[in-house]
Amino acid sequence: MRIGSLRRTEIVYGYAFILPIVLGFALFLLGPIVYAFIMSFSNWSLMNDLEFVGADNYIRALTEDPVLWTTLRNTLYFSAGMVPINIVVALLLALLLRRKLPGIGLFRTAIFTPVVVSFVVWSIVWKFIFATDGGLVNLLVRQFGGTDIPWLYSMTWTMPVVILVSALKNVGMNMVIFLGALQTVPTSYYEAAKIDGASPWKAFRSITLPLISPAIFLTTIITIIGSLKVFGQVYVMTQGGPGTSTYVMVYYIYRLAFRSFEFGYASTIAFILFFIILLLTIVQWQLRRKWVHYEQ
Amino acid sequence: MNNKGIVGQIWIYAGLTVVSLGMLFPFFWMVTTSLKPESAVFQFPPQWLPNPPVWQNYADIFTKMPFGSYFFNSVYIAVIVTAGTGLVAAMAGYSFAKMQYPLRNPIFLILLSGMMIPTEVTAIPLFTWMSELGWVDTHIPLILPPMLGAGAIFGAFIVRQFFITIPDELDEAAKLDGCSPIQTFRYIMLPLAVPALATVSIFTFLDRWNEFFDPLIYLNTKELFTLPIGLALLTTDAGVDWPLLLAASTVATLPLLIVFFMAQNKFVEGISNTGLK
Amino acid sequence: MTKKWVGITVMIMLVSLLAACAGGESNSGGGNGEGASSGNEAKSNTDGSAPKKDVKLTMSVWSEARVETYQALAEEYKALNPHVSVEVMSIPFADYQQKLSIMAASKTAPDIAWLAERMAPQFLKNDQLLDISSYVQDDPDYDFADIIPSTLEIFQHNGGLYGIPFSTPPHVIFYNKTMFESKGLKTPLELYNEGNWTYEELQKTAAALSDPNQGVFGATFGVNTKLWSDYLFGIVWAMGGEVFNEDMSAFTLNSEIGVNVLNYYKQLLESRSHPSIGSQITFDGGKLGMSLENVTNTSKYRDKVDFDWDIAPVPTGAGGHPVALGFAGYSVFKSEQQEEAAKFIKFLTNKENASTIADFFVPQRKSILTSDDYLNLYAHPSAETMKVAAYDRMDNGRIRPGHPNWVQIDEQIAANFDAFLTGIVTAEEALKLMEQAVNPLLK
Repeated sequence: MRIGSLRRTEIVYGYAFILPIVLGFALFLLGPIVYAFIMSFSNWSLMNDLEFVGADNYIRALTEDPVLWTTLRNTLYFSAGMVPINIVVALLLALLLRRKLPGIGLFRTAIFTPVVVSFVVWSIVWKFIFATDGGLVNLLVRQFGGTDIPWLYSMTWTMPVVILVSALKNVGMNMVIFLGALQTVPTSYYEAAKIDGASPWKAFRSITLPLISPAIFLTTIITIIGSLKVFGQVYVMTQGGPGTSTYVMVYYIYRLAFRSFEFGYASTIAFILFFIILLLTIVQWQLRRKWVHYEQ
Repeated sequence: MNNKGIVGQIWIYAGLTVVSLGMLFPFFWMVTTSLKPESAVFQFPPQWLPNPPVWQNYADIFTKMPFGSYFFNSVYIAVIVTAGTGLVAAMAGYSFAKMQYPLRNPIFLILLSGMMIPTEVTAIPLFTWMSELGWVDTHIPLILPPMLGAGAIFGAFIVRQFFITIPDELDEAAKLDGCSPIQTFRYIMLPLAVPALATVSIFTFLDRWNEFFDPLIYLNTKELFTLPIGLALLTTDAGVDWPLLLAASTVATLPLLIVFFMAQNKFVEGISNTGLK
Repeated sequence: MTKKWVGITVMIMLVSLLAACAGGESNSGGGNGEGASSGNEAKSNTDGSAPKKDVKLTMSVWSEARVETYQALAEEYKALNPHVSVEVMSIPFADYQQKLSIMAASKTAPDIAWLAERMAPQFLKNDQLLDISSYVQDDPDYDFADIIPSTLEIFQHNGGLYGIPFSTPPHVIFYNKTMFESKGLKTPLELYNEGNWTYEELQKTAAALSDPNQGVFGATFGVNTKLWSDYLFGIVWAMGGEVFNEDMSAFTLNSEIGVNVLNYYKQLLESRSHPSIGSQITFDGGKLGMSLENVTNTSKYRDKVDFDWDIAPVPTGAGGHPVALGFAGYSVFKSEQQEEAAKFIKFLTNKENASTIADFFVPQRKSILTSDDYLNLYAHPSAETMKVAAYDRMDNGRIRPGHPNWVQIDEQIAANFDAFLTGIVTAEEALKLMEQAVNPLLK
């Protein structure tokens, strides 16, 4: 019976050890999301009495909310700009940095530095650099004979600036993940390729790229999802402006929920965002079969 | 061939130098501007180095805003959450990896799916619950949910992957020596898990130190602000000048940069070894 | 109520789910529920135990610099009423209304709050403020009649009085005298005394002062379009227009005057006589010729800047010489300690204390506003200038209107203002869009 009691002890302790995390999951993740889903069918607000309105919020979102469409367009624009820049630059840098050259660690450190900095500080500094009246960029523009450009108050320029600033911030993170992946590629493969007389580009395409494709796949998903949830840099640099030209999903949710206090409708928009992310993830997972070289 | 190699290397160095300087430039500009008088900030042509440096800006951040409280709040919240998450993740990770009980793996999978839930969706219900408990404008919502939420699950995942690589014999031996599960965990497993926990801690600390959304919605009074929120609101408050704001940004960034430069290998390895390969 | 009910249902569902997975933990969720109710009990206990029990009031302000002033007054009050202590907290202005709304909805609102004119209607509509007329109106010592009646209008609602104003500062033009002297230009005050201080004149003067390549700008009204209401109202009124009709039921700026006002502002920006939108330039930096600000900012610059400055009235226009007044008052949020809070407001606004805080504010009591002590409080700007630029203007002063839907109205106007200034739409189109968006919100 000793074995039995030991076994029972293990079961009890096993559950006890995961109790905090399970409670946390129930109270802070599952509970709220179920609650938010129910509330997305109501007129829940800080000001009114609660009333369930059926699918009205979803209908309003899809048919009579021009700001939502602007917001979706902006979010897409942001992702389409930010993700390719980020992944390509990170991959290029990783390829350069994997060589064992003296002093290479310094470069790695330098490029990784922005990752540890708060988005708020990073955005504040760039907001300053892109200031219209005498910001550094405009001082340089003037030096070359141009006139001041309102970088952060322009329907044309503001989004590209936000994209650039965001891409630079996290390029180091993806670079490091690629570096880790590149280390797993056996050098013997390259030697074999060299003997076969393959060009470096050919070697990259037929050896490196397939072998690190799982890492590229993963970073792409993470970066896309991250880009759909951009908030801090928009809040600090543009406050969604000018007009609604830099409204992105999370910023719009924030405005609806914590400025206009339309909690119900904000939950609806949050769920639309959630569905988009879910859909993207599923699609990417499907693509993965074709795209990624091997699967464990 | 050899010549070509050297030329190639020079190109690599040149390219990397340009990129690195580009990445570090904002920091350079932040620090130098923080030492300029306000009148020199938007000068044309630009003043590259402050001449003479105005150290007064750094004294002013403590008198013109409750910068000391911002800093203290940020540090203590990030430290508590990091420690708490580490403990919760270590316990759960150990349990999921080494203990046998019914429904262990299904529970683990359900928890992992929780990492998919965007915080933006849960923020509104959580906010209203916290407000019904009277916890708005306190630090509790910034500590409790992150400590036990998605961050802890991510941590538990990393710790579990780590414990799985440790042979079961160790566990068995401890049991036979009469260690209780708590003792086994505390004296044998926890010390072993330090590398995995270091990775978890780095992620958690970075995440909390830089957290913006939660303090933005929960905190009302200036004295309770954390650094990101204190700094961000300065940009919308009228009458704060750039040198002051950038001096505050510099002081807010410095501790993390120092830690990073001292332990940069740990950071980089921690990230590339988190099972993302 | 339903809100809570749904919450509890979800909780119970979850807890039973958990109980199924991890047997024996079923009371954890219940424990949480108890936590919620015991929290409420604790709150009511503080008011329900002893007679003359200790009361802790909280007060919110949006100016960090004034916290100490009120802490000092709270100390005095405690000396008179030992059972009452007051804690003052500051909330940044940009988020003030939003934060107060949340606190009021979650029953954690401060007992006493500074409110600006545009904030009051929302809280009044939601029935969150206390009618304090019975506390102040009948006490002869308090001398309620001394308070300038027009400043009370914001707080009068359905026959009740929901706050006492403490500052109604008129807008004035601050100008950098040193800069005017070095350019050999007539100052706004000189132009005013000649009877030639108009918006056209301001534009000309601003152009003459500006040197954008050196970061020097002639004039600023404001550089944050989200705060359009701070400066556009005054210009619209001066040009003879109205943003809203009398009873706040329609947007009336879609007119020729509206077009002129928008184009006037845009011309200032495009000629680089005005700092760009989003600029962080402030008057104390010495690179602004003229700046439209509340007269209370005199205390911000007095003895604190290294150039010579003065103030002048706002310019005149076709609509005469109206001036926009800032507005701030104290209100009491309804709670179990509302009586103590109302008494504290009465203390803050009695004759003696109103004159104490009038060091920083433009007082609402006639006896103080017209007293020699007040006018001669500071050597600079001179009593004469203060009278000409600010106090004499208050007869033409107007407080900007508010509305329960102000947050949304504000947002709509700002967004279309942006679209106009960035060249997406013309002034006519922008005003039409504003009208279309705002009118439904006013209903």
